[in-house]
Amino acid sequence: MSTVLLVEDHSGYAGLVCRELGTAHGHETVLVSDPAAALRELATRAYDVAVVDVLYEPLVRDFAARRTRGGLAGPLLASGLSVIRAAGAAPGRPRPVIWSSGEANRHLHLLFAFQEFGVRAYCSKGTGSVEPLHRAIVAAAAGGRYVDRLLDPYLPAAGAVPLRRTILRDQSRRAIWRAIALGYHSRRELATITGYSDRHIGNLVPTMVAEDLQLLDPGLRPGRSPLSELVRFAAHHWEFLLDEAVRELYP
Amino acid sequence: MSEDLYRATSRRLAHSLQPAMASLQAVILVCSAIEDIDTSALFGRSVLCSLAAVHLVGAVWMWRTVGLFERGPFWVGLWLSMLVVIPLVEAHLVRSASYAGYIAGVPLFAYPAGLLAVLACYPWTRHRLLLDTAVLAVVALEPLLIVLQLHSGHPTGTNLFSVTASFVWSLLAYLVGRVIARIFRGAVTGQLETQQEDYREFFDFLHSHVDTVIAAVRRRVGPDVPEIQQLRHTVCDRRLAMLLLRDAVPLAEVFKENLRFFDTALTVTAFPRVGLLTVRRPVGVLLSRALGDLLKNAIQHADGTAEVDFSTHQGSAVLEVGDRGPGLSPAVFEDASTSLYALRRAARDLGGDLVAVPGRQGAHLRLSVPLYGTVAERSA
Repeated sequence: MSTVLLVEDHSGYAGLVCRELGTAHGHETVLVSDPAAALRELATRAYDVAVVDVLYEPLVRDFAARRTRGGLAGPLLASGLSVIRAAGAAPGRPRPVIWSSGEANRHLHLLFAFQEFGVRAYCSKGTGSVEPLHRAIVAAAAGGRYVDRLLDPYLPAAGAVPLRRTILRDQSRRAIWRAIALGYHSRRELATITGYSDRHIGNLVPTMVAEDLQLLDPGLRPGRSPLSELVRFAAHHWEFLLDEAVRELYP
Repeated sequence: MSEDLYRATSRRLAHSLQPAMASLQAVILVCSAIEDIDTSALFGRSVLCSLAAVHLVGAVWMWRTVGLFERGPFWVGLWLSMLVVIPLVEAHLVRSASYAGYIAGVPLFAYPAGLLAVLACYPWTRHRLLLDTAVLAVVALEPLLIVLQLHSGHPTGTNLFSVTASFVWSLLAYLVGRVIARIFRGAVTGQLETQQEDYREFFDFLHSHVDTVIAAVRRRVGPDVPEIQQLRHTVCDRRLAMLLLRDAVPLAEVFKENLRFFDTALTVTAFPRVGLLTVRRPVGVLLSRALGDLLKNAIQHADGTAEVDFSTHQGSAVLEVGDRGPGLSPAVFEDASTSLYALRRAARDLGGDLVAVPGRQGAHLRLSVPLYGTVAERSA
């Protein structure tokens, strides 16, 4: 029996799960709907386990609108990673469980959580049973592992090169990735936004494809210009590249 | 998909340009009839004006129908032949001394421009470079040959300058056509990428929503309600179909969707981690089909327990699926009525294979396929 903070924006399903975690398994569960509320909750009370979704649709939609209008003063996108990071310093140091449906735009978040925050409990949301989530909570509370088979494919294979040694390797790479994710797709724009010289960006971009992307995805066969490859990758993963918790850890 | 869009866009562009360019050619013919032909040469003027009228009729016809470029090579060739015939006719109508007598260009120097611009932006599928080079060579050489003929092989500097200027105008028209096509392609690409990003975002959240709602319904009414199972299978099926449309297929998602399809009937004791690996579409389709077929075998012929492994080694993807059933007879690979026979044939078509791994309990199958295509593709 554990005290559990559940951070989930699908309130109907989350409410049902909360009740069952309590009635069937005796967990004392508090439900909040977004990372900001979770951070407040974590600051006021000690939990054993924090169950977090990766992306929260209302936050992503708000941020996407802000991103396309170009107004990006202030924090970047808040995701479940913010909660996991805060949990590491919160009273009681609650252990995280990632509870996700595992879509493509959460893939880098799952890798990052595994590699940087040492998250070892992953549960798929779509099973229709509370039992796997209960097992994940029990495993996490005990410092053990639980990985739902449906989320297994998303995690790094043995010997995989971590994100910190590829796309997050150094500050200039990160600046370029974030600028591309913000919608700046020409060398000149990238130079203006990042403050690096046009030549530096021109030299770095092919390396970012050959050394970073191809290490992450050995199946990648770049067919277009290196910059186009980066744009394509950033279009698929902008939620991660513009994640606030990632920026805090890797400015 | 983007290539299809390019072609569709270029065709629309070419369709709008054709009547405009034919009209322009008509105007150029009329101007030449007034400017280049002597006022006394009524025959010459009549010929050029008649040709202008034919061009105008052609322009209206092209406007009202699909245009010449959509009618196939014969009609395109017919129009292109005008680039040779009309300047020849013109050369016979003007006084030989005045042909190529102006440095701005030979008579009718602007005539090829319109057609060259359309030609440059049209999406030819084969021999494009060869055709464009041939047409430009004809446009460059014809006035030169005419000048040499009219001046008995001794053209003046002005004659040569005039011929060169004519070619430069034609080349510029061709380049303008290429630039217009490039601008449109850029616009199409940008629009397509924005749209795809929106769709991807939309479907990712839609699937997440649908998953969550189905999970909630299963929770309320029970996991084994047939309609719910059917809905889950439909969602998995459609999601897989969408994933397998991509040029670079994300393997993690393909594996997840296949596993989810069978999750209520199957216990998987080991499942591979593939990270961000993507594979080309034919390989993705094969691996998805293989995983689906082999997991189905594990359900139908074994105890519903399976283990799956995946690795990449020396440019090949290797998928292994094992179960705890009675095992497989080697004859099953030779029986054309079985799914394993078809699967092995599909693997071999891509340069891979499907084999039974001996010495294991139950059936243990290994499918291998080159990640980067055949040897010829790799060396290319």
